[in-house]
Order: sequence, then C-alpha cells, then structure tokens
Amino acid sequence: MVAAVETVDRPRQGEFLGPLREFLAAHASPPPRGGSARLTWARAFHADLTDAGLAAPGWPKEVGGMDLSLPDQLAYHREMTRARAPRHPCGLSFIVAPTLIRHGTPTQKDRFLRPLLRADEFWCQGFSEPGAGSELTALSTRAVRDGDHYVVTGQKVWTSQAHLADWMFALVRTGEPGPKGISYLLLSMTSPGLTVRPLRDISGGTHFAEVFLDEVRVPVENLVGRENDGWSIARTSLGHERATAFLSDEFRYRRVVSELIALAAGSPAGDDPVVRQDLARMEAGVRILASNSRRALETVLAGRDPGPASSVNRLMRAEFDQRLHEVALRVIGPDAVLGNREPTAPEGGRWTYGYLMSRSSTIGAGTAEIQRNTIAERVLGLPAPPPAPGAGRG
Amino acid sequence: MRSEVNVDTAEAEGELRDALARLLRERCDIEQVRRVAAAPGGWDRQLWSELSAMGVVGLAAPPEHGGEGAGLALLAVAQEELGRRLAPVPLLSSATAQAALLAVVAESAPGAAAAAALLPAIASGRTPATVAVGRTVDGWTPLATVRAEEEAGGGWRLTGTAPVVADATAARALLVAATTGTGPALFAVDVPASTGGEAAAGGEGGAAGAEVQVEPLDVLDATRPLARVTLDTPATLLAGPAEFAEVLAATRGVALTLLAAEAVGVSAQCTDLAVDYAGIRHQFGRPIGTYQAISHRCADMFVGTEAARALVAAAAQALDETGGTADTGELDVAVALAAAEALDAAVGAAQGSLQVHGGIGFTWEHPVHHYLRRAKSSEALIAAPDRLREQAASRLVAAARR
Repeated sequence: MVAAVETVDRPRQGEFLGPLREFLAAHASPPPRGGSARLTWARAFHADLTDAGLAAPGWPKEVGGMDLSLPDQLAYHREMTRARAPRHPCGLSFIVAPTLIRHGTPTQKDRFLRPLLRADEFWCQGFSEPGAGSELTALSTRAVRDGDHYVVTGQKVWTSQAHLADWMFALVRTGEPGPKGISYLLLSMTSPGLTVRPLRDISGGTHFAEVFLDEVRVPVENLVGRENDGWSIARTSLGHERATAFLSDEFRYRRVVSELIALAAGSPAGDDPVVRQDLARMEAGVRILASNSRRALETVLAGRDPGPASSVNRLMRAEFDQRLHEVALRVIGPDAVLGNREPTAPEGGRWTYGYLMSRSSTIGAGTAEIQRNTIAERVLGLPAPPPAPGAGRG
Repeated sequence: MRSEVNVDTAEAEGELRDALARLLRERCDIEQVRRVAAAPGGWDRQLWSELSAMGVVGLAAPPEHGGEGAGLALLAVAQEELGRRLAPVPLLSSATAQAALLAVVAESAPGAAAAAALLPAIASGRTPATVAVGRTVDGWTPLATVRAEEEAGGGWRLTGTAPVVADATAARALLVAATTGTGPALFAVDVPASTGGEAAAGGEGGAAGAEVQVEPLDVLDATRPLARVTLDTPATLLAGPAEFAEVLAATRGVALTLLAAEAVGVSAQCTDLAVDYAGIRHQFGRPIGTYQAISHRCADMFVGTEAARALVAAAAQALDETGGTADTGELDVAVALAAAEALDAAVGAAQGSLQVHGGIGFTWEHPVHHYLRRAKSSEALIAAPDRLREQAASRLVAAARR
C-alpha cells in the first residue's frame, strides 16, 4: 500500500475510469445459476480483465498492475461493486501475491503472478495445523533440505479451497522452534505425497480441507525470501493485504446493508421498533467501516502509520459481518427456518447460508479473541500475559 | 459515499489536537475542574478567554461572521479535546447558538440582520451564548412554557420559564425557542451582566422592565452547569413560524454532532484511564491488564471510541459540505447515527473504566465518576440514543419504500 504511494510515474487521476466502464459494459451479464457455472463465469471475467490491463489496481506496473493512487483504487472498487462485477474467484491469491511482489525472485514473479490474476491458477494457504491455530508459530510441518529440494512432511488443516487450488503457499519448519525457524514455501498441489481430504463445513459444503504432506519434494527455487524468514514475511504481507482488501469490502458491505434495509422495508419487520434499532446499528456499522478506511487512507497519504485504524477495522468487520446476518434472519422472520437449497427461501436462501458462513468471521485469519489481544498489547500497550508454565511463547 | 481524501485536514486536525491538549494539560487538570464545578453554575472564565484568543469559539463560523471558517470538522476535534478534560466552558452552547444564527441568516428569516449583528460577538468569545428549548426524549421542541407576545411598539416580549438551560450562567445572549400566537419562533434575548455568574439574581439590562432570572440547578454532571431561566423581557425576533422548523433542525444537527464529539473525548479518556490503571495495578502477582477479562474490555472500549470518532468525523464533514440546510434527510441520518454511537460509547467506556478501577473507581476522589456523570447526563441532554436510532431507521426504511 505504502509502496504504491511512493511511485512517481503514475497515470492521471481517474484516467482508468473510461476504459474500465467500457469493459464493464461489454462484460455486463447476470451471473449464471449453479456454483460451477458461476465459477467458470468469474474466471473468464478475470482473465479478460487481466488481458485488458484492468486488473490489480494497486500493484506496480512491472508486475502487471495498474499502479493507481489510493483514491483511484477506491474509485476503482466502487465502480466494480456498482457494476456487480464478479469478485476474483480465489481471494487467497491476494494474500500470496503481495508477498511475491515484495519478496519473490524475478522468476517467481514471472511464473506466478499473471496466471494468478487471470484466475488460471488458484492458491490455497497452508498455515494452520492441528496443533497450531491461534498459536501459529507452534507449527510443526517439517521441511528438510535434500540437495536442491526441500522434503516436506506434516499436516495442514482448515485449508480453504484446497480442492480447487493448483498451488499452496505454506509455512514450514526449517529451523529452531518458535517464529525464527519458519520458512515460506510454494508447493504444487499435484506433488506426489500430497493428499487433500475435503472437510465439510457448517453449511454442508466443502470450502476447506485437510492437506497431508508425506515427503513432498519441493524445489529450492520455490522458497520465498530467505530460509527461516518465513514468519516475518507472512506477517508483513498480511498487513499489506488487509489494508487494500478493506477498500473493496467497504463497497460490498454498503450494498449488502442497503439490500437488508430494502428487505426489511418490504416486510412487516420494517415497522418493528426492535428491528429498526438493529437496522440503524447496521447502517452505523457500514458507515464506521467506510469512515475508518478513509481515515486510514488519509493517514497513509499524510505519510503516517494508520496503525490503530487498520487493526481495529479487522475486529469491527468480523463482528459486523456476523451481526448483519443475525439481523437479516430476524428480518426474514418465519422464513429463517428455510435452508438455502429450498426454492421458496427468500432471496435464494442467501441470508441463512450467509448466517452460517458468517460464524467463521471471528475465527479464520485470527480469532476475535486474538484480535483483542493484539489491540490490547500492540495498540493500547497493555502488558502481555505471562507464558503458561512450560509453554514457549513466540 | 464520499471518497476524496484530504491530507490538509489530517494535518490541521493533528495541530489543533496538540495545541489544545497542551493548553488543557496546563490549565484544566481534574483539580481545576473540581474547583470550578464546586460553585453552583460555575464555569472557567480564564480558560474561556484563552480558548477565545486561540479562535476556538468561532472555529466553525465563516470569516464574514467573525469566525475562523475552519468548519465543524475541526470544531468537533476541539470539542472532543474539551470533553477529554471535562473542560467547564460553554463552547458547545456558544457553537450551537452560532449555528442557530447562521441558519437564521441562511434562511433569510426576519431576524437575519439581527443574527448577523450578534454573530461576531459570540464567535469571538466576548458574548457566551446558549439556546433555551423544550426538551423531549426525541429532541428539541419549542418551549410551551415561554410565550412571546408582540408589543404595541412593534417589538416582542417573552414571558415564562425555561426549566433547564445548559450554560445559562455563563451566557450573555440567550436564543429562546418560544411559542407565539401563530406558531413557534426563535428569539434573541440579552442577558444583563448582573444576572449572570453564579448568583441567581434579576437584572435591569438595557431595556426598561427587563428581567432575566438565572437559577443554577443541582445536576448529575456539575462540570456542565444547567439553570432554570425565568423571562419577562423584551426580545428580538430571529425566525418566525415559517422558518422555525428549518432553523431548529439545523441547530440541533450541530448541537448533536458537537455533543457526540465531546462524548468521544469522554470515551477516549475513560479508556486511557482504564488502560493506565490496568498496567500498574497488580493482583495475584501480575498486572490486572494481563487478564483478558480486563484487557478485552479495554480493547472493546477502545474500539467503541474509534467507531464513534469515525461517525462523528463523517457527520461533521457532511454538515460542512452541505452548509447544514440542504438534503436534511441524509444529514439527519448521519448526525443521529453518530450521536447514538458516541453517547453509547461514552457511557460504555465510563462504566467500563469504573469497573476496571474497582473500589477506587467508586470513590469521590477518583476522577472517573465525573466522566460517568458527564456521559450519562449527555445521553439525556438532547435526545436518547435509541430514539436517535429510531429516527435514522425511520428515514432509511421510508426511503427504501419510496
């Protein structure tokens, strides 16, 4: 995010809007019905978008991005949301991409970034393990150097989209226990010794999986950054990713809240004073997220650290997402008993499905409790709790 | 949704915050606040002069009316800093009165010239001012208890009582929402110098037969003096029944936004107090801030403060951009949501801070009860948070039904 600000040779403000609108008008089509048709549709859209030079608004030009200023990135995301353009079908790609841009070798950038943007190749994230959830630095999947390969053995879990992914970016142990013995590796999902076992999630779908690694051989050129630097690499790029991801979320939530209010307005719930309190809270919530993103932007543009605004935004966003769906179920009232495959469910069952899925907002990518720890310790400066007897605290 | 990004604003805001924080650290510590608040109706005249000299009182008003023209966005920042220190000065009331007069001018109401004549004195801080209005849980109304009669000579006379008026003991000018034979109207009343201050006394003022009686009330939050004002006095018509609703709505919008900004300051300070205490107080051999029951509550107080600050900034900016009288629907939603969020955040943080402090937080000597009093009394000062949410929701649902 900050790197983009420093670039001097940048297109004129708003210049991209004409071509983008033309592209969106030419690609305007309602999403097809059915999950796999919808996926194909989204992939095709993003392949075309990339070929037209209209993908990756915040990336530098030399890696295929548009190098837009932050205000222009906001305008870009607003335009995409307004046109109801399909989101990139592999959100995790945008966690690995900033890492590759910042820490990858020229070969890695050439090999991976364009197929990633075109949605030709999907990525999954191999971070969590059965014994390393909130305490990620306790991970134990081992990578042992053997000539020009690493030999990787262990298990990853809660790996979203593993069954669709072509590649996995993973944290593995190459050195001492704790954060200083971790490396960042790129693994092909077709590697011999790698097995994906889908896990059914709360909605009944298979959005994540367990990944078993049994002496998987990974070429040394797929190491990102230096050996044992993986933890700090993963952390810096997570911060980077979040700052820009918020921009597109902002417009999506704006739309969802308006849809929720419209849903209530069309039903008796719109006259219920208790529901109306909640609607007002949701409207406040979406405005808070928008205003905070803007303030974070202003701070970044003024050359200061957006610190508190972005860490607080994460927690707010997670809990807002849950509350939003709780309110939605109250708005649909008696129809909240219907599942999302029931044809008579309101709006295709999106709210009951969304409600179930929203329970992961406060768990994935750091639980709400971990977020509060982070705010308490890093923003407020409260002392960290002492380590439990016998436990190594990162 | 707005997306322009303004670097200058962030800079100006930072400078104003620093300057005010410095001044208030020196001139307005909690002991000073207690001394001032101990006298019935007391307020800090010296601090008021310094704020006036800094241009804070007229920060939002345009230069042609004697102000700094910096907008409500910055004034809200100033009000937040004053809230942090519970500064006992009539800034909220004086800024609200300026907003009322600016609305009178903008509406070209009958008293536009009188309003324009009064504005520079208020903006400079020379004439502290306030508004006297009827209070309901939903917000302001005209005072049913104050009658306005047109006199034979052509002027107006106000008679009756405004039961609760903020900062009336400091005010030299009073804007009164009274009832006339043809509907509600807004009037300006001079408060003679001998009336003011801490004493409840009648004064003669400039005009013959003028009486303005200001009696301080015993209040939940002594750092914001409230008084009963009894009137039997000549008055200047500012806005008649035709413009009254517009003027009152614009005034209320500004008052709520500033009250919300102040509540953000209260919330922020309560959070800081709790965090400081949680870091030094030891139990079971470690700082209580290492326990998540404490640290998470502090984190939530901080998040609540940040959320409220974000909404207040957005509301102030929206008011600045529209001048306070255009597209009132969207503006009302922005202001109502900001005020509801901030008023709730302040009460939550004050109660949370008291809890984190434990027994010491329940004592008279500890400052936290002053903040709790300010927070809780602010909730009831203009409109209740749940009613503000209802007003916002009602507009949003109605808009979706059109």
